[in-house]
Amino acid sequence: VPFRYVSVAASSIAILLGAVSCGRDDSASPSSGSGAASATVVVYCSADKEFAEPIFRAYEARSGVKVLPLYDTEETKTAGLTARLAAEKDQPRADVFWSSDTSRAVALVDQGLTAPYVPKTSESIPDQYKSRDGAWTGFGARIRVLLYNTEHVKADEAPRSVLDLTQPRWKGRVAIANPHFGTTSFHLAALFVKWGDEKAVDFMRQLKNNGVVIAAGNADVRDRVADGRVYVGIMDEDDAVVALRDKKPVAIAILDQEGSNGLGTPLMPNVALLVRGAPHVDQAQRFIDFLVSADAEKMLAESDAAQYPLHPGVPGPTLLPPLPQIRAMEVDYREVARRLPSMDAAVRNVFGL
Amino acid sequence: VIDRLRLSRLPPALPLAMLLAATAAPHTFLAVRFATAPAIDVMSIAPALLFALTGGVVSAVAGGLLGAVAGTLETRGRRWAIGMSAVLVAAPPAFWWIGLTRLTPAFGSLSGAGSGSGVAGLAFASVTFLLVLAGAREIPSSAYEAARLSLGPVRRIAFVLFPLLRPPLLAGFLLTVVLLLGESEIPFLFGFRTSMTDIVTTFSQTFDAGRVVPVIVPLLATVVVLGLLLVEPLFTVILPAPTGGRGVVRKPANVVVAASLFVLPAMMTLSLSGYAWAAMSGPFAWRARSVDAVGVSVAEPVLCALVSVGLAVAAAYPGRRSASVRALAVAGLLLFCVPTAVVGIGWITIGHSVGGFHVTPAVAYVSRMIGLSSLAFLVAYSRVPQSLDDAARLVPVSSFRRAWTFSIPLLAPSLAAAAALTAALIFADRDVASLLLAPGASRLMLNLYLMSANAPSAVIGAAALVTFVASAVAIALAAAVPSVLLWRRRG
Repeated sequence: VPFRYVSVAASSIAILLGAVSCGRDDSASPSSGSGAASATVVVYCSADKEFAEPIFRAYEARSGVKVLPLYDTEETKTAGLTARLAAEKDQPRADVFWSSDTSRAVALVDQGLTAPYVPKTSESIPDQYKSRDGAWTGFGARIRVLLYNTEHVKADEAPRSVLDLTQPRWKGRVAIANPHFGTTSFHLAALFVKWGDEKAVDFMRQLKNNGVVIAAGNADVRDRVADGRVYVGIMDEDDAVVALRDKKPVAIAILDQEGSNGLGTPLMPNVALLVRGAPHVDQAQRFIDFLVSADAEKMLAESDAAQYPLHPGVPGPTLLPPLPQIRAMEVDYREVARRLPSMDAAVRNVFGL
Repeated sequence: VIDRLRLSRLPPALPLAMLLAATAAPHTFLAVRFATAPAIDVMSIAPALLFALTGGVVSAVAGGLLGAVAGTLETRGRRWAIGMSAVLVAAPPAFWWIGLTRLTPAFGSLSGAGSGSGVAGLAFASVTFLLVLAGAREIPSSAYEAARLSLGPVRRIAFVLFPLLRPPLLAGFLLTVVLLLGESEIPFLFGFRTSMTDIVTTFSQTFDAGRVVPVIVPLLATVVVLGLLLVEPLFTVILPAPTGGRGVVRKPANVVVAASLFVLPAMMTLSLSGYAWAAMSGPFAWRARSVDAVGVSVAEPVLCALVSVGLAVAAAYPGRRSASVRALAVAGLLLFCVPTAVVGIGWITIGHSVGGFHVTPAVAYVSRMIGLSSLAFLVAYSRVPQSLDDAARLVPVSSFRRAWTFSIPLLAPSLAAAAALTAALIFADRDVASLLLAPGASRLMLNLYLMSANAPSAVIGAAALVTFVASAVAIALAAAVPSVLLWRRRG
């Protein structure tokens, strides 16, 4: 047979194989068997892989259900997965969305991409951290903290408020993560809600003029502070705790705690969402029951994730002050979600990102 | 059936043209999106070009100097230095950079486009280095020997050696620029904006190709222009020279010059030392967690590389002597120049357009790499003496058997090199993996980035070392399979 014919056949087969290999993967098809051993649950997870995996393993050991997680990268935290969920809304692939960013999770609810579900284990979670109709349920909260390098900054010199970061003392020595993504976007959008657009944009301009370093993610901010490349940085408490664990020359300060009108620091519960049209609804509901349970919160508090349990009576992280001693920023998560687009536009305008 | 379908009248280059057209499907879809809503965003192409051009200059200078030394002088350990320098392509620039920052925080204090260009340019200096080395082997020995007799070292290098090496230097510079235009990790790490950071962030925020097409179009236009500029110098290096008596006669070098050859291997060793240092900082239980996904991370690039090379050979072989070979080789080169993330976005767009189908990463990898494999085959074949191919035609066997037994084994080294390079590039990818991997799937290189957020240093260091070793294994396997298959036949 002349090679030319083989070649035409091979090329045609290659093109066909290419097309055939593009298809709905097994994880998206409803589980056929009723036995838990063959069951799976697809979880889109914007929490750090490092912290989420022990939870998944614990659930697998407890239920026999295989968890198929999909994470997003540090640079596109949470925004990447919410966009993916929106793009897949007609043919959802995910069953559950574990969002580490409260506002973007609530935005998904507003877009109608989720289905209501009241977890059996959520009764004792305070009302402000969940919606009454089960549209979303918070668990394992984090706060925003300031990490400073103790070789360059004494405890009494550390900034007390986010507004202090615009002072000349900190010129070129402050780092924040890319404000388009993750909890930094939540933090800035929350400031838009509390201060109004004008003051918030002015604050961003002052930060820019003060040479704020925009890092790839919160972990990058932490590393820059720990290495002394910058002196202070804002991040989530779990990122800061990792630096303490690694015995870096750093200390944690919680911003905006002083004064009768103190702003407070943003408190951001993780959010468990049932995806509308989830391929494995039963498994998704059982997984959410576990995720928001006191057991899972205890694991998250005891691990390096150092997250604050929302169930009363569950011990909190040991390296941080107890939650009742922290002045949390009073903010409507839904309103923060609504401010995300205008905050994004302002970030693009001010920082050129 | 064959006669009835009149397949014998098909143009011999048709299979390769069909295959390349199929691999261009993502680009075609993005072009259609652009045609339906034409808009261009050129805000980020200028900083992207500045970053890539500066990195290209660094690569050309560093790689050029080292290549000239390795190509004209004989030193102890020269082969080792060349081999280790080539290993730099086994991982992306960000991998090497992060390893260095683990060694000392002083490295980590660098930021901005200038520093990023320097680091990325040095990491890609091995590309220019290898091209210059190949170019030095094509220099007429008589011409360079005459220059050695009549000119001092400085004048000889400035007025004879570097002009003779202009094609590989230019090819190394342009290839580095093309590769850096597709780079997003270094800009993220050094905190500046390029077209790729815009594409990655905007697409992640929207998952809508329509939003990134305005940024992709100027980037692709730039890449195509650079790819076309690359054709002449690259083909000059990789196609056989018409002159006889090739290659500079290498003369012994002094110790200092010999030591300079180890600059790139030293960088690589320092970076790996940084990871090793980090890996030793924690208990074994932590380090042991880093071996997840080794098997699939090795198997995928090897299989994709073999499929790419196999398909390219099958499709290109019939048209190896046709008049359109050069055009097809250029098309293959241009397809390879398109950044991986853009190919991935194109495939996602296709998936959405045809009813929410999910494209596997392997499809995106193979579709991008077939162009490179086709180029490798066509170039390698052009280096085979015509008489050998003619002699093979005298043997009374089928054309398939003739190709498998006589012709293709002659190309074994080039096909093995193409498979190795393909496997290296696929292993190093993070963009397609993060866009197209199915839930529950994982890859070592992506895991490394995911765990770099908050994993203990010991885990990250161990994971990086495991990743590097797995990359080396994947590259070796990809190169070994065609070598063994074809070498046995040649024997």
